[in-house]
Amino acid sequence: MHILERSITRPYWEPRYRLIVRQYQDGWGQKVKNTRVTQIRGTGAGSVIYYTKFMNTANGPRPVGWLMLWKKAGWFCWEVSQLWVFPAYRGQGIAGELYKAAINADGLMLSSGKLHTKHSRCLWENFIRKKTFNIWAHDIKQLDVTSDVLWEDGSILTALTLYTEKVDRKSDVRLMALAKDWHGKSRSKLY
Amino acid sequence: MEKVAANCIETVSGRYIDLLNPTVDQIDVADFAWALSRMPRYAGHTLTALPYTVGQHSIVVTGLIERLMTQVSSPQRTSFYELTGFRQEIANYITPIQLMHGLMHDASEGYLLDLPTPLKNLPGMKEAYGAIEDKMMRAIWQKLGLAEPDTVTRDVIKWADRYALTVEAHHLMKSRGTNWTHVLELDMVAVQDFELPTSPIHIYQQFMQLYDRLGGDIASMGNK
Repeated sequence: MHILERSITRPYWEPRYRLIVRQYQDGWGQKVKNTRVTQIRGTGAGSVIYYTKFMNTANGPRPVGWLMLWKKAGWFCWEVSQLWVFPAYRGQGIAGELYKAAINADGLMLSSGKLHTKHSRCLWENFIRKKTFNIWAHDIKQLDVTSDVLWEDGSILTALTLYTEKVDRKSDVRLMALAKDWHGKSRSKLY
Repeated sequence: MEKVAANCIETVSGRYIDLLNPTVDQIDVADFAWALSRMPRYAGHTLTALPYTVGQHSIVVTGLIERLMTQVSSPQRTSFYELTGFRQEIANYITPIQLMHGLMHDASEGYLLDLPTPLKNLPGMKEAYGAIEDKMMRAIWQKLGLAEPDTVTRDVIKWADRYALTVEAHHLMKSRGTNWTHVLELDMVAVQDFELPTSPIHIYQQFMQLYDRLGGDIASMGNK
């Protein structure tokens, strides 16, 4: 994983927002707790799911944050592709709620994204500190290389190097998360 | 030593201004820009750590009118232009003079404070405060060499003011302005164009730079 110095800019979140609104208006998706989930079937390479938090605005219910997950065809684990919460709604636990909908309510196995902003790094640190999920480090290029992840003395303690400055072709360590009471399969009817 | 008249207040530059009968020589742009850059909007009841000031709001309103002006001439009009609901001929009417009016639309508050609207609208208060505000604005326009804004200019400023209010309410208030009367129906994407409050000294500098630029534009308009 690498640290992205800047946060996500408008060209990256705006098309996603428009897509989610269009899907919502077309009646796509189902509700998982307070979150609406929509899925785009993949074309063979993989598939994408959006977990979206809607809130009431002056124009009616609108997405204020979403978690976009991507899964390569044949893989079991979903990778976080984008997490976006509009600035005015940050600090209210929306991101955590979206992760919980995917991991706890839907029983998905999640891998952290390739790039981490300082906000997403903090979020994962919070998950580890508060033991929200079962979290471990996994090298997705050498699948037998794993390590426990603990929170000690205000930082993450693990045997693998989580954040690297340069792309390493032989190794890519990600944080993986599963529900604490996971029983071995996805609970959602969608996927 | 001669005492200051009861109607007067001292400004930051050491001038005295008669709030009930202001004269042109008592007005100084730097004076009210200084005050506006540190005067909170919404009576200070905003969620951000720094207060959102009337000065920053005035700069935002000018920016919105300028955006309208530039997008009219653009062959690819964006959704922003469509949002405004103005016909092209009205938008074509905008010049640096309208921008200056936009920057100065709350200038009287630099001397008279930003009174909450319900207070301003109280019976009796509306007439009394309205008359004082009117006198102050006339003195300011005279100082800047501006004519009184016409109906079109007032409409454009009113729209930009409401647009700014909608965006500000979304970012600064707990309710997001969903139950406010004067907010516009803006898309979630449109309300993201918002800058967090910055320090008063930065706002003051931005205000003065914008004032100087618009003053230069107006002067060059007159020379043509």
